[in-house]
Amino acid sequence: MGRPGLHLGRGGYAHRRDYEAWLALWRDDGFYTLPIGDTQNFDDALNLCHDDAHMRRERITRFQQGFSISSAPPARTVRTLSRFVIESVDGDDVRVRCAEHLIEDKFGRQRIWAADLTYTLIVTPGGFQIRHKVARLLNSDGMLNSFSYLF
Amino acid sequence: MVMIPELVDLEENLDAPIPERFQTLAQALRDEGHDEPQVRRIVRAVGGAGFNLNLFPNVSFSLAFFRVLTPVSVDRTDIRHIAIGMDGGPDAANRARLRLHEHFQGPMGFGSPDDAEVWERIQRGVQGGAALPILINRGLDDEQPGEAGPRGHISAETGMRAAYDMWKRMMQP
Repeated sequence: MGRPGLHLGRGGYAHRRDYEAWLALWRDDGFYTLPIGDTQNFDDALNLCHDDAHMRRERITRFQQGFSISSAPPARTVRTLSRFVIESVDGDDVRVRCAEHLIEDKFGRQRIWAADLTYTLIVTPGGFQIRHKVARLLNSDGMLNSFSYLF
Repeated sequence: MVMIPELVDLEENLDAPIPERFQTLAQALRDEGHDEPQVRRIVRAVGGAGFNLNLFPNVSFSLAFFRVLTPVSVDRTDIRHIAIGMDGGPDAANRARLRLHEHFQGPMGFGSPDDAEVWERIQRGVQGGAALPILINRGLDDEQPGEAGPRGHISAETGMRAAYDMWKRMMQP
């Protein structure tokens, strides 16, 4: 049996828009980052997002409240995570990377996104928790307008 | 367009309490050795002005950023958001500016995606019947005369009317 709480298909929470379950995956000091280009020092650079616990909660509240014209209704999405590689295991600290393909459908238009994901996971008695998730979009420095969902 | 009247002049009322959301930054600045008046000025600068400023024809300024609109063709406009920081300013303060920019702007922001949605809907709308008028009359009923032009409520289309008036003037011989 694997460790409890290890769900490699984490995208499932975002896909079902089960955002409370998504929020519960994180450590309080964790960051959810969509960088621009090949940025490494996220704190001192402009990112598409670089969410601490407060901002993650705010983001989910915005999705749930329905006052945002770009996210109500949200796009429907199908996403696939694949090409998983365990980069390193250092005590309770596990780094995993994988590829994400996401297709969104809204108002009769489909768009395709691809991203490299890097997870820094912490082993806890209750399962893995996310300390950092970096979703590096293939065209993060290209023309982008609006995402009504999570990567 | 004034949203926060008490933040029109950032040097005014510097003794006012520092907002809760900037308390951590203020403490970080104090810990770096900045004196209290300087801490307050930097915190004010990080938060930005309480008004938006639109420069005819295609630049707008708000809070912590510039927005530049570049017409490309009749059905396409490129829109670029530029984050603004303090050259040589404290790292903690510039980081806070970047987080404010990310909070509002960009495809994952809480503001510009909604603006983008509206722009796309306008594009679809203007492809409708060519004979249909486009209404920008909101707030006409309670506009007040002002020194540099009419003044309207924050939600009025006063600014849009001014921009179209100016465009029309410039396009006429």
